Amino acid sequence: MTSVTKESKKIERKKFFMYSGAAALGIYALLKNPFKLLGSDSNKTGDKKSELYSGKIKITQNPNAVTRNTGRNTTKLNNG
Amino acid sequence: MDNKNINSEKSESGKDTDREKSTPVKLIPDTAMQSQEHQNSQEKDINYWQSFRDLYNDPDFIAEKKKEFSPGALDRPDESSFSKFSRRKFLALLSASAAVAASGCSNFRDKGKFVPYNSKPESVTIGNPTYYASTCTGCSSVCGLLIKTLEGRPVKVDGNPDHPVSKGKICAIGQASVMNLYDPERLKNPVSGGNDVTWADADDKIIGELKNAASGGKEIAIVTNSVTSPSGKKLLNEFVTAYPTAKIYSYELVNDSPRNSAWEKCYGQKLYPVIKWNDAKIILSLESDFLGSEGNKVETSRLYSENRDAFNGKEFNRLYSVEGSASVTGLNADYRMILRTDAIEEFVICLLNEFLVKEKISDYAADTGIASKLSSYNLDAFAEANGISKEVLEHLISDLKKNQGSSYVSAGSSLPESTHIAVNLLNEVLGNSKLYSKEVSNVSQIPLSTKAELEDLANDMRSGKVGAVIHYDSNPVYHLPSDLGYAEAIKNISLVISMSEGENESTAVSSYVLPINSMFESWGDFQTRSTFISLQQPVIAPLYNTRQKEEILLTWAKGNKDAFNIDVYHNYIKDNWKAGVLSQNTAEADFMKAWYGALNDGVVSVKKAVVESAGETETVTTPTGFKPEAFTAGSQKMTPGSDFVVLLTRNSSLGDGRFANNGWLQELPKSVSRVAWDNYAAISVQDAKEMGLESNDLIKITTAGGELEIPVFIQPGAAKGVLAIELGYGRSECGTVGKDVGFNANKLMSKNSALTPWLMNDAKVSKAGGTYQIVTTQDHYAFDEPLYKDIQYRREIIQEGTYFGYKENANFLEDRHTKYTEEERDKLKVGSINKQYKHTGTKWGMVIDLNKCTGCNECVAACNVENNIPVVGKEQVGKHRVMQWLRIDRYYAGTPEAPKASFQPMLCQHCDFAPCENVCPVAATTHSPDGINGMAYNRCVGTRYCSNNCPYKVRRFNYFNFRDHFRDSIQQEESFSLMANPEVTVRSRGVMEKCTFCLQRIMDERQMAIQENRQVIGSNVKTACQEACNTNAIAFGDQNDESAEFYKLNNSSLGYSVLEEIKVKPNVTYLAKLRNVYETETEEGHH
Repeated sequence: MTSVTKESKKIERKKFFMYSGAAALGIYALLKNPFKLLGSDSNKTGDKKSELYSGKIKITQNPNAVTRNTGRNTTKLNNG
Repeated sequence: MDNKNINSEKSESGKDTDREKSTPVKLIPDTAMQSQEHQNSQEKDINYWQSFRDLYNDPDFIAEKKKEFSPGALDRPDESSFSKFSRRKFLALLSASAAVAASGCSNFRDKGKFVPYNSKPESVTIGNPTYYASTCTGCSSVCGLLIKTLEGRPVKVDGNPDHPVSKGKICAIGQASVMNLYDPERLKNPVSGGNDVTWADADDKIIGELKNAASGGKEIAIVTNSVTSPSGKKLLNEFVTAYPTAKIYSYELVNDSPRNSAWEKCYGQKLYPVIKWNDAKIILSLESDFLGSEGNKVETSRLYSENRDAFNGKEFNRLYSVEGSASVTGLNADYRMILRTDAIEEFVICLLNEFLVKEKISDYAADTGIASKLSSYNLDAFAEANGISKEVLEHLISDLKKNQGSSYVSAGSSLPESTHIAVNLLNEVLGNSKLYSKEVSNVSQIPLSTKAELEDLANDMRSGKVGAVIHYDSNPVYHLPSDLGYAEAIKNISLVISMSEGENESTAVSSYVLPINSMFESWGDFQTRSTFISLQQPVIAPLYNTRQKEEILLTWAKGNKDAFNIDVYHNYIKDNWKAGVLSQNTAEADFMKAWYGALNDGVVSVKKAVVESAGETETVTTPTGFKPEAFTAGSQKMTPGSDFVVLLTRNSSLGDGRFANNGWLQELPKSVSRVAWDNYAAISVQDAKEMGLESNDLIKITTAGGELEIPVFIQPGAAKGVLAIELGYGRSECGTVGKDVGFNANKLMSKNSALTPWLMNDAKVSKAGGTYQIVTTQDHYAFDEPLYKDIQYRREIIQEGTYFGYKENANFLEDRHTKYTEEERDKLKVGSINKQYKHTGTKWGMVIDLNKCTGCNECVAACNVENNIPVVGKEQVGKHRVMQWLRIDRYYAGTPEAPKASFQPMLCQHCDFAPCENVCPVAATTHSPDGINGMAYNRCVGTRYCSNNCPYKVRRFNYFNFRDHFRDSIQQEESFSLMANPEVTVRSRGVMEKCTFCLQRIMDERQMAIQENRQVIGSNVKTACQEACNTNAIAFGDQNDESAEFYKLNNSSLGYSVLEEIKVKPNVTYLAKLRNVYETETEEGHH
């Protein structure tokens, strides 16, 4: 094998990575949200949709709730 | 051997056939070759040749042998002839397609990501639970809650020990309420005209329409269930101020209206007092299921069972029951008298006659009006006519007379006002007003609407006077009597708004459906007693795009959609408390300290109703004097009829039907019949025989309210002529779990009912033809089978005695064993084939007191939640595949017409010599040094030998992955996976499971003991069933800790093991049931 052929193979591999990278990005974008890419009225209803439940549950504790140290051994605080 | 022979042998065997084919062979050599061949054949061993070419010395073959490679073998292949599809490409595509197929076809569900906290909340330690005090709003009893959360997820609910009423206990509805929070079928967005809309749009339009209705003089009707919140009441009043045409209507499907109205007529006060059940030595229950489904059973059961403890030094109370249905209370009674429900009023008047006219035990005997009304009644004649035992009646009369001032007569909430008036007089005559609490009284924020008010509403809706209707977390289309015409009238209203957590019959007819927060996501304050107020706090932010119903109303009351923010109601309550309950804390810092303290405790003591600006709050004081005219006015209202009595009762699991989509509650067997997933008409054995009915046969019931076809269930102990039906079933608009389960008995209720909406004695009943399968977790027909009859006594599964007998001889249980002859005792001494392991350290055990157990099922509900028990559905329950680890066995004894019942919680007994362990081929079930019979789920291969060999039948096998097998896999939804207790493995198909004594809780204690460098303390561990038990019938602890209270219970003279004679040495001890029957009776439930 000559050095010329080696060089050309290197270039091919580079291209391969570029193409596969691009393809992966494309597939990811398509899978991520096809309706936004294809939809025509996404801008029009975007604000409203963000206010509606989107199908993903998020667990958040209520910051204003007061916890007890333990379940059983309650400590009566001065609550008037 | 010659060549010919060799050839023939080879060809017969055929072994060289392939080799021969591989090379062109001249089978018949030519002459030239023959001479050469012959020559060469002389030179080699004739017995070894490889082919005919070799044998006949083919020259080509000889030439080939001289070359290592055959011609062309070293030539390069012709690449142009290859497929363009390279091996690399093939493998790449193959692996890619395999990966796609694997990911696409697998059962993979996105379980989300574990993301560490960026900034961890101060109160949270990963893996450690966090507790919040709150209030349950499952019914109008509003019990205190202690909510356990793990990493922000509520996973378990128990009672708040600081709550003065519930005292750390909660009913099955409260226990199972976490399933309501995570129900994937909850409403998730506001809906208008079938389309999701934003809150801003909905608020804007609704506020506009409400303003139009108000300015046009049209009524805005707010229809709500009973209001128990002082701040909620204030808010409703503010809404009425903002929209002057607004009117508030409140109702409850089953309520105490007859009892309260009778009380008002007798004493001039609107609310029935709080009863000191624990001071009652004699209780007479008249169709009153105070241990099962009436009133605040959590409190009543606890107070009742205080006098059912053989070790606390208090005398046992004695419970008499007179009823037509077979209720939990009736079947727990020491004496039970079976009587048509509509004859109860006459019975009470006969008793009054006995005490006032005959015995003259009270000053009321001198009241001529009362005396003349009683004169025509006679108890003996009544008993004769109704088949009531005279002996039992004598006991009752004697007991009530002897215990004046310490007895209590309780009339059921379904009985009419006239019966309650008679009962009030009876209690007055007996001096039982001492049991009416003087320290605390009931409180009502807004009185329930009267029948006339609700009828006016329906009429106004029809006539166009009503411009808007707001269903304030209520479902009147389902609940209100059908002849009220509410469902039809609502169609005339252009603006119907339903606030609801889930789909229901009222949301189906609404123009706006607004999703609201669950009680885990809401703020609130509640007051049902004069001495304290409880607080509700959200332990989790709303899972969906929901708002608290009070937030919605507050926004509308302010008339501007922008008035909403997530703290609007939180701040509203805080401001109310600053001005009212905590007003003594004038400085902000002091207030906040007190506020946080109140949230920590969940309850605040008050001297009077003090949410100041909430306006007038109804309370009652101690009754002063009975008004005899309440009794003397008019004639007896309820007289026995000749038609069927239909008694509609509250279901203790589904409430008024709002929890129909909760699978745990649907699958919880009814305490008496053990039927799950349906309601039915409970019919007496006598009626069934007369009408030729079997259980599951459909009957048609016709009342003034309407008609209903429903299956019958033959209920031992039900009175002839009485049909008892539970309400809350037959939901037509509901989630997939609750839709069309059971039969809607609300259809039988009438606005014009002569007695009460829940009691009719003019029902026509006929056989409808056809059957409907109802399923029960205990055998329908075991009662009459000679094999099963009284098996609980014959095999000493249930051991009973009398309270009198126990007092005479505390060791009566042990003495019974002397019945065996010397020879028999020797036989019983035969040991086990296993060697006893000495548990020198902790040895876990459980004690269940059958005197306190009422069979209420709260322990079963708690176990379900704690241990991630799946819902299996009606079909699987019918196949005996229910997965509940704990069951309540109900045994009957005596005759089917008048049986005696016993309840017994049955769970894994963790036997020392567990028969299940010996037969497991893979050692999946083994014993731990601390006495626990454990299950290694990973090891289990599902032979079911263990279940087969278990004498107690407490093992449960996963015939399916029930989460995937029930109702379109609803239990596999993401929200339900958040509900699971992470400390307990979720089991799958093919695995055996059973009670573990809440091993995860034991491990917690073990971990704490290690951290604190101490021994494990048995009393620190509380199992889920133990925590839930309203009557404290379950105790758990270390059997080797002699200093513990548990040790005394475990070794008490009342203790026995079920099926002791089979010598498996169970570690669950039952305390024998003592019936507090008369001294003269030597009743012993054992032979």
